[in-house]
Amino acid sequence: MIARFRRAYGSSPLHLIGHVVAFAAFVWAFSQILGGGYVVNYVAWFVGAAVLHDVVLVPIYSLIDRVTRREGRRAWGSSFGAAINYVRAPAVISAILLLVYSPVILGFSAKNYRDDTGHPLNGYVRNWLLITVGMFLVSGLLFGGRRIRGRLLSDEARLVSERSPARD
Amino acid sequence: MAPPTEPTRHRSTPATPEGHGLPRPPSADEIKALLPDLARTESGIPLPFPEDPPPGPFRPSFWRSPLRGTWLTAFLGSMLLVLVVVSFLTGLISHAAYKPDLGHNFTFPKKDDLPPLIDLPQGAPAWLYAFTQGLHITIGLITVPVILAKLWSVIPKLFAWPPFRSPAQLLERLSVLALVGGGLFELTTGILDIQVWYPWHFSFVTAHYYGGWVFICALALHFFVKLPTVRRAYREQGVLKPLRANLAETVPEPYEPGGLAPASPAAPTISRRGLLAMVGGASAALLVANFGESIGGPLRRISLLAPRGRVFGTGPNAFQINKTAQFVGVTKAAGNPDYALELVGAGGHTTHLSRAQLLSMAQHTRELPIACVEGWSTTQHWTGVRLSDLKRLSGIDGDAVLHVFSLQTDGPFRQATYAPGQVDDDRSLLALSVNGADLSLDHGYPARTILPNVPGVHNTKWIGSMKFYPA
Repeated sequence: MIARFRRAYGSSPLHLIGHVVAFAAFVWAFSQILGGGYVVNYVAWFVGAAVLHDVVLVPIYSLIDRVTRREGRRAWGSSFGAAINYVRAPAVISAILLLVYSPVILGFSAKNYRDDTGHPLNGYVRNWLLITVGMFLVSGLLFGGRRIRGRLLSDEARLVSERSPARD
Repeated sequence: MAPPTEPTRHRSTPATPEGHGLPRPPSADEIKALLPDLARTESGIPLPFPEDPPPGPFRPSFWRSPLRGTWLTAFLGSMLLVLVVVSFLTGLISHAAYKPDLGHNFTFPKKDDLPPLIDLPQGAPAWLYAFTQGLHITIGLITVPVILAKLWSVIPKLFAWPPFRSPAQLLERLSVLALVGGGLFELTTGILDIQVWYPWHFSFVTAHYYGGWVFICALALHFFVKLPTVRRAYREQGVLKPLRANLAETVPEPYEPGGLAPASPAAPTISRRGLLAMVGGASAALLVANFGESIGGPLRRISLLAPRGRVFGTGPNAFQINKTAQFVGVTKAAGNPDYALELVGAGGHTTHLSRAQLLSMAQHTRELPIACVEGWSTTQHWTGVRLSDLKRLSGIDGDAVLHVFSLQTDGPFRQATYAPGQVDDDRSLLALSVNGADLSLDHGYPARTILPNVPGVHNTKWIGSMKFYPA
């Protein structure tokens, strides 16, 4: 009996029960929201968030990463491979800050901000740029430091190997 | 569908309509050979799509990152689970803090709603709601990089081919839409709300609250469905062991059809721990960029991107404002020298109290925060009349519910309703001054309420009327 169910359904009866319960909860929650009207607007936001992420955001950042790596290798050769994550980290963090704080950085909140606080919305673009420049500087310094350390270490290793005759 | 090729057609017989040598109609077997094989369920029922994936992301060879695999997804999922549970619980606390079962506190119909589930105890320290709501916002923000990484790690699943092979898989994929849509919807609406930008028509409160239920139910389901996979990944690869691998030691997980590991992995350009460090760095950046507005004081300034991370001058009234007097249009009514507070008590008995009369009553000073649902807070020293004293003045000695009404004529928060415990709390005030000075117009002159552990908007400004109802 269970085996036949499994074959037809593709999983255990518990799997089906769990999904039925969860979908009942979804129906309850959605009907509470949609009771307020604006059905199309709400569904567009709910589904749109997932679609925008999956078919716009992911391809865009994947493409930027790929192009950056290709052009970096073209310009600086294979040594760019060691530098890529010193570019990626500040770029990713800066992009996420922009994504999250775009309403204040790009000024979408300007009117409501003034009504709420009594002050104009400004300074956020500057702060975001400062943070971004700061992160790239720190990242560059870390990379430079790593390169210098690596070179010193390899010099030392060469000196050591020159002094002590190689054993065959 | 690809056009059929023409291997069976004879060269010397042109396929013209009037031609004598019309090719014989293909047999059923030949048609079958030309059509792509249909995907089938385990029990052999054909599905409405071919067995072979279309080109591009539907083919396993398309996805090449060597980091993808069950361990990375399990690890990110475990972190998300903790973050989301904290967000959900603090969200429930905030919902209950509005006392949605009283008066018009709930800004949308109460029909079919659950009762408030996690109520903060009345005697709790006054900073507790500021803390839980600050946590709600901060955790929500630091979840963003983790959820982005989690979705990146499972993106090949979106293009899995065939789209489903059994009813179970179809249901699972629909529930994943509720999970991903719900998670991104909660984060997006929450993040835009703290920046007071509302580019939609639906009610934020309703959509964010019930959206939270959709998300948590989908997550609970996902947890049980994926638990065996997660346990297997941790058992086979260790919970933390893959974190020890540097770039040179980073190897892809073995490929399994339908799994997350790539079929043809590229060489790694970052280690798994490097990726997780980047995610953690982004979360840390969001934390530092915002948390100062939840704590206030000198820390407010270091949160460079927090919507309430700015300090506007000094002075007793120079703290964060939510809705200026000018914006809500109460400047005239609130500045009226003949202002008198309407106090309604038992049996509808009404008295009027001028500000001078209120000031002649026993004054009490309390240190209390305004803790906004948007996650910012500001703690000040408020002086005024205790709500319990006003209740007794209205002629009620026992428990009473209190409705307060602002002089403002519009907006959902021109009124609030407090529970008997809140009215009787020794810290609950009708404040007349703050930090030793009269309230400014923007902070609620001539009088405002201030209570411990209520959301900021329920500390009603420009109080025009107070009605006590025996409970």
